[in-house]
Amino acid sequence: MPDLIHRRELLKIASAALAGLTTAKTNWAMPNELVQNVAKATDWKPAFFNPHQNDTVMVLTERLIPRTDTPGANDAKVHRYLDLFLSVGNADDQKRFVDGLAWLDDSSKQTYKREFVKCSEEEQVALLNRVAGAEKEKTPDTGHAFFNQAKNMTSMIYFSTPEGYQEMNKLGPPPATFGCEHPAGHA
Amino acid sequence: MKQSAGSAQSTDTFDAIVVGSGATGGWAAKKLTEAGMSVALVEAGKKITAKDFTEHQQPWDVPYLGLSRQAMLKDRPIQALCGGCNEYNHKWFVNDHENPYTTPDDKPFRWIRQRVLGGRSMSWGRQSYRMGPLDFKAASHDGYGDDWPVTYEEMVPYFEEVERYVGISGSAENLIQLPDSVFLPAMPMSCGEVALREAAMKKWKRVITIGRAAVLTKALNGRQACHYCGPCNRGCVTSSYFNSVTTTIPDAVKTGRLTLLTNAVAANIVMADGGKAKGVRYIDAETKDERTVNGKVVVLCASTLESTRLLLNSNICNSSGGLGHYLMDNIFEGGARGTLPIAEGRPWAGMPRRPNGIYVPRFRNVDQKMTAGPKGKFIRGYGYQGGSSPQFDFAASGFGKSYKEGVHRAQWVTGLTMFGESLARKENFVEIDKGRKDAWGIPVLKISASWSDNERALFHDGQQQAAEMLEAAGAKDVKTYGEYSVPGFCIHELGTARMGTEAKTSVLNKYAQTWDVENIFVTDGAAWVSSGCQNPTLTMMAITVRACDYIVKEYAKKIA
Repeated sequence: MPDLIHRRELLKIASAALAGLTTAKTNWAMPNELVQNVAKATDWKPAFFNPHQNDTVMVLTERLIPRTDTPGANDAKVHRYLDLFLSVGNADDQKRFVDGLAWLDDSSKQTYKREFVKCSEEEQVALLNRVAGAEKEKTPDTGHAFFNQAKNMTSMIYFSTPEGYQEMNKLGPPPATFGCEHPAGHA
Repeated sequence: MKQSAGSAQSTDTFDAIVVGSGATGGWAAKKLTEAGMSVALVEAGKKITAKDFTEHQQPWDVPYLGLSRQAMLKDRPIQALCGGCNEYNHKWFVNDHENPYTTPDDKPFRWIRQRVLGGRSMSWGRQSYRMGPLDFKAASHDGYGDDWPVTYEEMVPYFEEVERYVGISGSAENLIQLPDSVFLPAMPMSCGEVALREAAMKKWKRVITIGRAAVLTKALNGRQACHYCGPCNRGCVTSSYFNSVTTTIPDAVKTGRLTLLTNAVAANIVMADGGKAKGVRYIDAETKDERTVNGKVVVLCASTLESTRLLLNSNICNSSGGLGHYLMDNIFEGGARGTLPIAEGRPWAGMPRRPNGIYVPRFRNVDQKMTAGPKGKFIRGYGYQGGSSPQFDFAASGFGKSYKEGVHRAQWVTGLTMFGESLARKENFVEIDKGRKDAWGIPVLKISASWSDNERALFHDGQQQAAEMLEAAGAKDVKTYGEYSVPGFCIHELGTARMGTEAKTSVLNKYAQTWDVENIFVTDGAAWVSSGCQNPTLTMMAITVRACDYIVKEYAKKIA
């Protein structure tokens, strides 16, 4: 198999956290025409989200993975990929995400009397804090399920971009060569 | 007479026809043309060159960042299940709707195939292990099944020839159950892997070694050493891993005696009066025109089930009643993982990516015949593939700045997955499903295979031993994982036209020559008598070289 079979399990180990995306019911059909890489497009428009949803997703993804000392989700155009994946995704995933965005605005209006995008950063973080922390629950409620889906997708996309690679390597460059360099043993 | 690729005239007869251009077919084409024979190489898939390789593309160079496994479900619902089929290379895998097969409802089988020049050598795992004396005489060891009609000692010169050409990097361990190959320098182990190796040796005197991989660590025959970019299964412009497109096929072309027919879907063997094969009828993959290429010898290297399918569709080579039977695969996907308490090292993104892991050679039933595992007794054994490396914690809790920081709290994620032998059983078999044809009108296979108690017992023992080895190395949070793999999914399907010592009980003799039709040879996985637990491609290539040796030195005299 191939490499077909090589290290398939190790790849699963490494991306166990991102299982929400690859092993879930996502079913993206490959579009017939060649899809340009959305991050590079100069005239990009969302294929799936309406303008308000797109604005919400931009803010949401940036709260999840913000610019810090390294680029964040907006720098990496994560929302464009999210839009792309959902645009060719299956109906279940689309519905969960769209319902989740609506839930986010409902939650925001109930608490702060305004839409999520109109809240301050502190308010947005407080709203998300209510539904974070349930990543391991098997049957989360709507808010938690949406948070898990949004965080998983954002993380998986972000860490597959040049900005994500920059963040991963920020503590120092990769080693020049592969292999154990400790002949005396390990701690 | 030389023909242009894609148009063999039916009045010309080649010295040999080779069906399939993968690991074994490429070797057959090389050996036979180098020996002076004119060869027509019939390949169902299209021609590819280094221009089609995508190993250096970064995720952000492709539309879906390489994340769209399920995006391939439309045309390749079965192929997309395979980890090696991805956004970069999925076109090399078969369109499942054009290439169907059937199974009984209660016996699922996953048949993963690449139809392209080079076949599955384009995306294989490159793990290369010799079958050894314990394998060729497995039945003599424990009484089950049949021995091979060829001995390990007879195979040694052919292993050596293949290894010297292919280039196998690895480390000599002097184990009777896993003979050493001719090796290029071994790839290095990581810190966690060194710790695991030391613990296994200390506690059980078990060997854990670096994977033996058909990946160069030194330049060889104009091919460059691997530069650790990682995704071999997308091709390699430096020809650092072995595939037939960048090695054996160019060698055959260089002789001037190869006619390469691509997009040529072999349908059946055409017989002459008098009981010998005359040629191969094939269908043009694009125009659907029928053509025939004639040859004095036919060598089937179409892959285990495709070679047998050709024989079944030709209604030949089955006087034994065994054609299609004794299908095997390796049971796998069971294992254990944990985290090693190593303080050194941290993860990184990008190169270097080592295209290899560690390997644990079989330690079960090497001296004794049977072992009592946690869920039953079993004969034969299993090896492991695995690895240990520092991994980012993408599952870190929370969000925002603290999430980004949490991702850097790396752990030495360590895992071992078992690959087990499956017993040769007559009731695991393939036949032609007369009610179904592929996109070229060729009747498809119906595949009936399931695991036996032996495979299941062996699987559970493998899980348990993996956990024990990790614990011995001090791993924390050790958990076993996996369910029985679906038969076929290891992509080591073997048997169905097995070798043997007599025509009554086998399809091929010890030179992979069919008993019934003297000028047909089958040298790929179909020839296998027992599966072993080792990755089979290396041994398949050696069997092919041995068969070609016989064709050139002995059989050619008869047909000259």
